[in-house]
Formats: sequence, C-alpha cells, structure tokens
Amino acid sequence: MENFKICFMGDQSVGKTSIINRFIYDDFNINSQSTVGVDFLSKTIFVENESVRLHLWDTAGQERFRCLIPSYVRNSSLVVIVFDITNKTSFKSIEFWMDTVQNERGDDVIVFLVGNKTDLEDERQVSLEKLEKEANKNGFLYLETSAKTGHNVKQLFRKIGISILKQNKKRKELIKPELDENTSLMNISLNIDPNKLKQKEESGCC
Amino acid sequence: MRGVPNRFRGNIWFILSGADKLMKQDQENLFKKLKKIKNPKAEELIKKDLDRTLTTHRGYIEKTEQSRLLDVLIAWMNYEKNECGYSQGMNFIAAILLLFLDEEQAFWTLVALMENYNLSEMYKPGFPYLEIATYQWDRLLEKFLPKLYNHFQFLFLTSDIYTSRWFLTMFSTTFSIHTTLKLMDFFFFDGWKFRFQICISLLKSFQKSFLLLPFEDIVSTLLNFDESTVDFPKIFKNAKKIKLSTNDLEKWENEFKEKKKENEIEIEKKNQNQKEKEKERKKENENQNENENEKEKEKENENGKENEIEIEKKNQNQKEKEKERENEIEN
Repeated sequence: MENFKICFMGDQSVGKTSIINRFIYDDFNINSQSTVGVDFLSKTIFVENESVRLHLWDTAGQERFRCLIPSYVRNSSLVVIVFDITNKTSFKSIEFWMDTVQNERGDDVIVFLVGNKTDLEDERQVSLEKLEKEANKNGFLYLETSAKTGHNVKQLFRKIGISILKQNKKRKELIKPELDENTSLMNISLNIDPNKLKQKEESGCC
Repeated sequence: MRGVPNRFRGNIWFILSGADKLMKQDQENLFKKLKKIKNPKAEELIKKDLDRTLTTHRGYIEKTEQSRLLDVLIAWMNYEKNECGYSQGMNFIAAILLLFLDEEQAFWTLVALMENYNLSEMYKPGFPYLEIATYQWDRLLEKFLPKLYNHFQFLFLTSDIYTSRWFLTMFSTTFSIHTTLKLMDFFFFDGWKFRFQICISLLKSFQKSFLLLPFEDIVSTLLNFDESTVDFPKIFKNAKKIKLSTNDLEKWENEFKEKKKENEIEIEKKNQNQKEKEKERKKENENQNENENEKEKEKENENGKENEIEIEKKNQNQKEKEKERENEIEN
C-alpha cells in the first residue's frame, strides 16, 4: 500500500493535534499537550474502493518553531493549514503558512484550508465568506470543523483521501506517456539500418 | 536504578544546578518583583500553554497548578539576563521543577538550568544548541549503533524528527512522569553527557526490532514509547557503561559549526551570484534596449534622409516645372 505524507500546520492552539486525535481515536481532550517539535500518527482510510495510508505530521504552532517546518512540507503530498475561527490572528497567519508552502513546493502540492472550533460559534471572528474568499483566491480546498464535536472531521479526511488519489492517478498518467515516447524513440533508433549508419560515417561529413 | 527519593529530590536539584548560589546572591527578592511586572505579550503566549502542560497530572487537571507555573514563567520572561525568551518546552521543565520546589526555588533552578546546562542556547530562536546536539547525536549513533544508523539513513529517518521533542521537553512528552523524573535526576548530575548515554542505551535495546520495522512504526515508537516494552533498570545500568569522550563531543560541535559556516558562506555566494546574474541580465536588457533605440534612431535618420531626398527631388521637380512654366510664358 502506498503511503501519503500530510503536513498539518497553523498557529499555536488552533487545534491541529485535536483534529488529528478526533480522526484517529474519535476522542477529544480539551487540554491536549502542546506539541513540541513534531508528532507523527498514521491511519489507513478507504475511499472509492481503495485504501490509502495516511502519514500525519503534526507540527508545533509557536512562531519559534516555524524554522523546523519546511523540512516536513518538502515531501508532503498534501498540506493542511488550520486556523481558529474565533481567532483573527490565526486567520491572518494563513499568508505566512502559504508562503512557507510555496517556497518549498511552488504549486506542486494540494492545500486544504481548515477553520476549526465551529462549536464556539458565538465567539466567531472569521466569517465563512472570508474563508471561502481566501480559499478561492488561492485555489485551496476549504472546510470548517470542530474537533470537539467531531463536526466535519470525517469529511475532511475523506476529502483528503479523494484528493490524494486523484493527484496520484494524474501523476501516474503523466509518467505513462513519457514512457511510451521513450519506447517509441527506442524503436526508431533500432529500426535504423546499420549499413546506412556506416555509410554516413565513411562519408565523413562535418 | 531508583533515582533520588521524592522528599530529597527538590533540594538535590536546587543545589546540583547551582540555583542555591544564585538565590543567595539575590539580595532584593528579585522573584517577587519579577512576577509582578506586567508583560501582556508574554502572558498571552504563556497562557496558551498552561492548560496544555503535564495534562495527566492531578494539579493540572484540577487547575491548581496553573497560576504557580504562570508566575515562574512570567518572572523568567521579565528576568534581565533572559536571552532566549519563552519557547514551548520550557513549560514542561518549569512544571516538573514545581512538583518538588516552591515557586522562588523553581524560578532560580530554571535560571540555573538555562545558564549552566546550555538550555538557553537550546531554546534561543533558531534552536542553535538543539542543532548541535542533534549533529552530535547523529555521530554517536553512527559510532555506537552503525547498523541502526544505516537503517535510519536508508529509510530517510532523520534524527531531528525525534530529537526536538526529546531534548526540548527533557523527555517529558515522550515518557511518563515517573521515568522523566529519573532522567532529570541524572541530567542534574551529569548534564548532556548522560542524556546521550541514555539515548544510546535506549536505542540499543530497540535495535533488533527497529531493524525489521518500517518507517512509520519506528517513528511512532521514538516519539511515544510504550513504557511497558522498555526495561528501564537495564537501560540505566547499560547507559552508565557507555564510554563517551568529551573530546569527541567537542570535536563534533566544532565540526558542525564549521559546516554550518561553510553552508552559510555557500548560500551567501549563491545569493550574490544570483544578484550579479540579475544585474548582468538587467544590463543586457538595458543594452538591448539601447541598441534597439539606436537602431530605431538610425532608421528614423535614414527615413529622414530618404524624406529629405524625396523633398529635394520634389523641390527640384517643382523648380523644373516652374522653369518650364517660365519658358512657356516667355514663349
């Protein structure tokens, strides 16, 4: 089974670890420990009759740890940028996280934008329209979740799985025609008459 | 090995680290002053972590410990000689100190750890000492467990994946509190050297199984050890037997620093080269533009000349016509 690397990033205490814990253990701990450095979890999901093994890299959100993150983005198939809908600053940081992704990968990676903590609707500071706007501007997929209630968390990972499969198929299709071209080139070169080649050599053109 | 009994632990940490001397030198009740200085930015940063420290400990579940932790960390942030600010990871260290020391003692022990055990260099922005320690650890792994080192290399399992977590929290997010305390005891005695010995001994005990496991199982284990599978008495015992040379550690530290410098110089060179190339490109573009402009001017000039010739021709024609007319009139 193929593994796919997914990198979670976003400001401190927006709920990266909680979203992952909800997905893996279907559990929520209001005080999950702060992630120092990086954490790693993996799970297999089934989408569209295929199984996909996800390697989830959960990174630290404190500004100081941002220098460690590029190496995790480098080999990711997909990046999830999380912010807290009750915290404007975490929404503004999206730009920084995007830059990190683009510096490492250009446009060669799928990006999901996730607004977490929909259970705190009363304290909302970022509207869904803003999220949509931001996502559409950059061509990201977006979703709002609540790790606490479980709202949309399953859907998020289903969508992640589907996107990854799609991308993977595209890649494979891109590699195939190249191979065909190569083989046809080889045939051409093999079809050349060796005598003619010799004649050419003897004629000694410039 | 049992480590230090709980009732002595606080005092032993306090004295071994040199915190007792720091506190004796302090004539002005510094801690009480520092914890009262308002520092809203620091407070906001630290408060995010208060409920997310030692989350399985009763004091933190019942929220009786958070205010003590806040006081110590705020005092640390206001401390004049603080060169590294607040970094996640410190919350765990301070919280562990507070399990056995009062706030003032915990504060001075934290200061002593930062100053005497290189922790300040570890937490500074860019984590300079973490980088060095990770490099030293790589060399140790290569020397003491070469098979495992090669296996990790083959799997692209780089050690920074686990060293940041191990070293920045003193293993408290990897092991249970019980084990962490024992590790801390030895750390206060022997500093970094012992920490490396423990790491080697630990990985040696896992070597056989790790050599057969895929990437994901190894990483999961390294980040979250299942303690029921770890024979700690044996690991502590073996750790002590591992002979680490301080010379080697120093040599590797210098090696890393040199490599880093070389890298930085190379990056600078590349940047400069790029800048020069860009300059050249700009010049070329300018030259091209100038050339084009000149060509255009020439063309214009030529056109002008042609025009002039035509005009002259026209003039001549006109003159001729006028002459003809004059002739006609005369005739």
